[in-house]
Amino acid sequence: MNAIEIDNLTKFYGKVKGVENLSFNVGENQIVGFVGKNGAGKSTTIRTLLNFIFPTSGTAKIFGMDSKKESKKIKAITSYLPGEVNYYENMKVRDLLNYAEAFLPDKDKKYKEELLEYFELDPNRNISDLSLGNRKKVGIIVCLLKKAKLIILDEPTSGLDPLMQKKFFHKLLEEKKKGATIFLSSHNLTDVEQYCDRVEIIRDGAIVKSLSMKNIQKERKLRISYKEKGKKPISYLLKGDINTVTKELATKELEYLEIKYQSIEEEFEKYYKGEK
Amino acid sequence: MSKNIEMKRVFTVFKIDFIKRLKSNLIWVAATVAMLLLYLLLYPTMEELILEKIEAMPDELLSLLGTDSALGITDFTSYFGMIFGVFAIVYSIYASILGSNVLYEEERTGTIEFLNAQEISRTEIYLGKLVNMVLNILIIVTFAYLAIIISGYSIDSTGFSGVDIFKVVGLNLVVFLFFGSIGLFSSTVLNKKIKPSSVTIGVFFGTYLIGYLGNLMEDSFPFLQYVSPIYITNATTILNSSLCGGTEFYNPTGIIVIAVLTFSLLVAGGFAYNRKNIQ
Repeated sequence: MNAIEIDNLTKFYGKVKGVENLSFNVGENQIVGFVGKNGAGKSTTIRTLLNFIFPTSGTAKIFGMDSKKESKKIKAITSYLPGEVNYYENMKVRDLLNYAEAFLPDKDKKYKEELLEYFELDPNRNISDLSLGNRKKVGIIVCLLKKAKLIILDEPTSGLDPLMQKKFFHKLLEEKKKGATIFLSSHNLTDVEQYCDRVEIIRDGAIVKSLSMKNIQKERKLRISYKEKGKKPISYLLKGDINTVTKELATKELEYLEIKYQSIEEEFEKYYKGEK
Repeated sequence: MSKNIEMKRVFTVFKIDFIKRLKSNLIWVAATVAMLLLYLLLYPTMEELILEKIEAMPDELLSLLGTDSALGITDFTSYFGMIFGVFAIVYSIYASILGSNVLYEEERTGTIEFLNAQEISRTEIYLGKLVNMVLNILIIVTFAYLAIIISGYSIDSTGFSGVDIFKVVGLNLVVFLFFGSIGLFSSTVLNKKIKPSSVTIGVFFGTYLIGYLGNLMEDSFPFLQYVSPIYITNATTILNSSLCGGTEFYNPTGIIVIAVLTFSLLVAGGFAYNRKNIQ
């Protein structure tokens, strides 16, 4: 069964289009990136899945359950980290976690303490005193506390320092090992490249490409960049045989030479910009 | 609305919201009770002064205060009737703001994203907020009633009737709940950009002024008075009516209509909230 099934989803805000005839599936037990420019329709899709907003037409399903009709059941197995984390200002971190825990059928105090320690968060601090990064950590802990089958994350790493980002993804990989499906919207394409199994690219409210990261990595071309003495730098994507090129380059007097795989960001940018 | 309502979750939402609002609600309770006590306990020292001042007031202004003439204010209960007319306005505004904000605040601050992502239905969220609104209105009215009873029995132990005051306060409670329900309903149908409290307070003053106009033009347009719920539960009118042993017939139609409207608004609010786009 697919974790997420979006079928011909259309959402208009008055006359403004959010998404139109959007269709894609997310299989179980994968980490799937959802990327696209600002305003492409990522948040609209996520908010429809979680029944924050109602579709104009089409359906959004989570584990076969309709987002409109079975919202409460969906929430029981789905956790969500919003892009902007807003919490009750006069609450302490621990109070908020207790509040989130009050809605869960089973409380796991030990796990809560482990998460607090793992993400280096002081539970006795007032939420209003926390930095954006620390607020994000609160959101991540709230999200993980549920031990959900599906974890939906909207820009999860914004505000987190690089070390914490690494720890966060390490935790996500653990959740994946336990069987969870992770659907994350992100502008950080390096994270997507490093941790996702698949990526759905959305532009102007429609999916323009669905890519498997394994295929992308297989199909990636090599970029050759070099500079000969007294000449302009040259950079191009390799089309022929690498050995032929290196033999040819060996005859030149080079100032520098770089041969590396084309970055996935480069590949994504084409879809972002509408070149493909 | 969802059929599977779990009271534990409703209670959780209610509890957190109640605690969150406790400080500001306590300020409202303390301030209004203090003012009410001050007004009522000063009655013996102000009796003559009040009569003088009131004699000088035009009849229209007296009716705005909820009494027809200075002759009516001959004892503490009548004085209470006049004073409570002013406090009924204050409590109606309090209920309007409270009802408007219980849900709207979550949307304005963005915390609704957190709450709505938990394992809870919108109906349960709505009910938690509704219970909080009703309880807070009940608390402020109970404290007001206690303040009136304490001052009443300490000033006029023979002529004062706690039961009559209970009837006045109880009927006014229905009106406060009505304005609270307008606020709550508004927050379920209005876009986040429009503050429901402005709409609710607008409705309150609109109906109040139309009711006052109806009072001024009693001969030509008497029905206009019934547009204002505050007029329908005017303390002096109730105290002088058959309901409190007076001579004038008390017509319960108005209060029944308000109660039915309140209930309808609360049910409609629940349905509307289940269909609202939370943005």
